[in-house]
Amino acid sequence: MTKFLINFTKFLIPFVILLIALELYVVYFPSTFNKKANYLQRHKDDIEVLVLGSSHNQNAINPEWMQLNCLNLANASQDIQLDEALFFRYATQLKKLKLVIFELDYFSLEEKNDATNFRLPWYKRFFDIEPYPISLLHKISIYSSQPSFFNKLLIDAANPRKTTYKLNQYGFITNDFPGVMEDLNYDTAKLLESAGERLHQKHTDTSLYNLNFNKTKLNTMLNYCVEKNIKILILSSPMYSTYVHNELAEKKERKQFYTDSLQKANTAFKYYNYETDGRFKVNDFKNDDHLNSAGAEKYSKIVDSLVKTALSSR
Amino acid sequence: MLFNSLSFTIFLPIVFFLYWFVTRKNLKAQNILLMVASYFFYACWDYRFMFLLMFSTLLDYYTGLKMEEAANKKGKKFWFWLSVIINLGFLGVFKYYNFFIDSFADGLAMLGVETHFPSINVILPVGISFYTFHGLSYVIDIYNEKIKAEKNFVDYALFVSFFPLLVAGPIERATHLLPQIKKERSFNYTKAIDGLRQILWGLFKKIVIADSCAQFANIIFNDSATQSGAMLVLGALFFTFQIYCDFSGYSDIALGTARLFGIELLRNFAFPYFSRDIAEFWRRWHISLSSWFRDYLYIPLGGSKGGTWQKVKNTFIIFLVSGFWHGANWTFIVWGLLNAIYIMPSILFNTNRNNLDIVAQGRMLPSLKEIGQMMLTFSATVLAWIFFRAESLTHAFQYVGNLFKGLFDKEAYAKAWHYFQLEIGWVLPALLIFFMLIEWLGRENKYAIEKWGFQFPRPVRWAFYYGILLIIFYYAGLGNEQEFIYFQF
Repeated sequence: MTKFLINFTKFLIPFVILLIALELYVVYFPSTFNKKANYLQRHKDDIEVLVLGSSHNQNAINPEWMQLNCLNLANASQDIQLDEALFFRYATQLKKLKLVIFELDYFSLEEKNDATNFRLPWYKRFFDIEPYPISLLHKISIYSSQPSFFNKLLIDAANPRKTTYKLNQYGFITNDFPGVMEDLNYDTAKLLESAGERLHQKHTDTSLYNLNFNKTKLNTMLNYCVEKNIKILILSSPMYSTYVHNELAEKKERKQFYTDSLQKANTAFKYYNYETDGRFKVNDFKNDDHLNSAGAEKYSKIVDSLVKTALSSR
Repeated sequence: MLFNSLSFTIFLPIVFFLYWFVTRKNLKAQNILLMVASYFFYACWDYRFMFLLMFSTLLDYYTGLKMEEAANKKGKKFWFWLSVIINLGFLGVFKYYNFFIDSFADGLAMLGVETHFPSINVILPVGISFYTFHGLSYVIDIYNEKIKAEKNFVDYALFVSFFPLLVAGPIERATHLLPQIKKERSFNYTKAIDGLRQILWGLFKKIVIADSCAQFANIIFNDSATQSGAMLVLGALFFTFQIYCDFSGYSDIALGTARLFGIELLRNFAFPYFSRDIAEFWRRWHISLSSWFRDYLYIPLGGSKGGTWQKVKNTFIIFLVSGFWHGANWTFIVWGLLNAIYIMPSILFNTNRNNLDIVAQGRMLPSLKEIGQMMLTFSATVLAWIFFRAESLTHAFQYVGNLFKGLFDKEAYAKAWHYFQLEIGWVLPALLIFFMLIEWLGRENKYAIEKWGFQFPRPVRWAFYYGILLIIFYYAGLGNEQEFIYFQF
């Protein structure tokens, strides 16, 4: 038995070392999550503008182009529930917070993650929020939350032909990944022709339950901002025309109704819709609903001027 | 609790540790521990069905004792049939009731009589077909006075519920397993290492090959009406590898796990896809079930005694029953029937025991004749698996029809090639080739990697195991985890 245990342990040691190495790599290798979390910890006392939202805002607002100290906490698939959890986890700690930018895109109100979202353990690890209970294993090991995702990441990182993320100090991805726009050589006719196939399942969920749930969450944050005299910008980021054409009319109307009622209810709630802004051309997009770095620069500068205007009316 | 789950990787070392360190010197305590662990393992699926397992165990234990105590043949018969009827009754209710009701109603509808019978909405208890057959073999053996009734309830309960075999076999015999349970077991280093090696290979088969093939088999089978002939061939091939690696992978893990506790289970697979005829295939596929049917159905029916007609009749019966055992669906019955038809020539010409040895034994490569025989047998098996996998007979016939219809469509091959390049890629085919190569090289052993690399120094052997482990680890992370197919039976 002793021989068995010794040999089995010997056999397992390299494997356990590999697992630990993987975990450390995943936690410490620069990612949008750990970069943003680090920035947040280091600049808690200086952050003046906070950006929330999904990958739309994540890829659209580069804090580098903002004149005030800005933290973009938007992340891929981040819904309003996660926005709210992040907001209330840190709002009281950001002593200089003057303005919050909320994302209110076409899909924002009617879509919502559930407990199976594989990024939830990352939020727990990096931002200490837990909107759904997270298993002990996932609390201990980030890698275990989605091994396939990390395996792919590791393999891509080892592949010199693959583009890897380049992040600035704010955790914003500064290099452009190949997207459908580049793949189709920014050919608008081809983009239009293939849009149906590409977008038929994109943001198609409609849910009145989610609508009410998200409205309540968003209203709570907005009211808190008003109470604390923090300025508010509610933005819909630029989309390529193919995405906009694919939108469901009723879903758009429900969103429109909400934004109208918000602005009527309180003049502090400023809503700006850049969804169909003519300044954004095909070359500004990575794909149908995400700006590339050039588009982000353009949009960030627009947002920056909005921030200035909003704060000057203080 | 699946063998390929994280919970099992925690459960197994705990039981192993308690078994060899805490209860080591006490056989009774070891058996109690294994029994409790087995019930816990089973309860992880659905604790409610644990009571059914308990009841079935108590029934066979009690009727076994009563049969032995019976003063006359009549009394013995009474307890025997009581056990058989209740056991099969449970199986009938949980597994076949709705099938019989629906088939009866369909039959009447064909005669123009509209009826409505109430169906029951119940989940099939995991492993019911397996533990029912364990119990049945036990009472039949007592009835036939092959064994004595087991007096120790814990030992008997462990025989029925031993967790490695509880939910998907191998279907054990009291004559084989009970003596091992009753005998003191000491830790054997070589056997334990062998067990771990077999578990490793079983996990590779299941997680890497079966689950990867399942992805594409599912896509193609679920959308078979719109697929081309070439794609349907691909789908059938993927399912052929899926079912083999899924079930034999499970059996490897079961056998390896049992060996860690000093218990040898019956071998269930012996490289069936290298068979040269269907009779050989059935001596190599799900061996514990085939031999169960042989011993408890085919031979009692008269076996091959009584001339050709008797042999043909009995062969059809066991294949039909075997098909039906797999599930309450006509597809399984047709699958059984198809196999009975396949095996008929060798029954009629008395060639069914032609290939008792291992193909190309002692040689590296098979002869051209053997290659031809293996390919023919394999193709017939692939065709039969379509019926096994299909949702209904209509689905199966439509699949087969479209497959043959589109077999000579050049454009369809181009499309299938495009799909292959785009969706499947070269990794899975490379893994399949690697897998079949290892299986071929190891075909003279109990499992493919049983003696792999014994001639090499330890670092080389370990490098091979690490390679396998890393591939498993990578594929396990892809999140394609699927239940073992045979859990549904």
